[in-house]
Amino acid sequence: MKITNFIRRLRFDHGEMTQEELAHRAGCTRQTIIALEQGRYVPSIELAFKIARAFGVPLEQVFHYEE
Amino acid sequence: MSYKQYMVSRALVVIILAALVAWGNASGNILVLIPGVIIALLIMLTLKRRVKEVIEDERVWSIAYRASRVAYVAFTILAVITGITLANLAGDASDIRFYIGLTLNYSACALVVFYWLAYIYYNKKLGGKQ
Repeated sequence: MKITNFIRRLRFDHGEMTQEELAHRAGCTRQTIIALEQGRYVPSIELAFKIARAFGVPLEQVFHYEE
Repeated sequence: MSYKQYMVSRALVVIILAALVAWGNASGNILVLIPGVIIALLIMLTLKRRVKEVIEDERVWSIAYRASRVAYVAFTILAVITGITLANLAGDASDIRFYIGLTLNYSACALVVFYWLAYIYYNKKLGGKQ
């Protein structure tokens, strides 16, 4: 079971949004965005929603749960 | 306040506190250290609140939680083993090693009690049943 995400691709789709800008919008640090993109950290539901909101997409389009 | 300004200010507070501790120890004014440390902590808290950037988040708290947990387990085990060893190595109660061992063992016990109390508090706060 693993939670993967499409943050890197979504940043690209949103005009190469910087990690710094995404972190600012989601209210977390840039290091957390880096850890998320590298798959080394699984966020809380709250942060996951904030990131999805920062991109303006539903949660399922950012995070994917693999069984 | 930017993150850089915060880091510089924090470093200054630490340097001043270190100088105060050194002076207090050298001159024997140990009582000065208590308000000094409290004031330094309050200044650092105030500085942290003034930073506009996000300097810590849930990942940092998660790291701190895991580090605390490891430190707690490591200290408890090491203190118990070292404490028992020292207490047994001491020939009698007049040996300093006996008191060091006893202190370490009581420290480990106190830490476990604090952990237990904190666990009960957070278990209640977060809705768990006893």
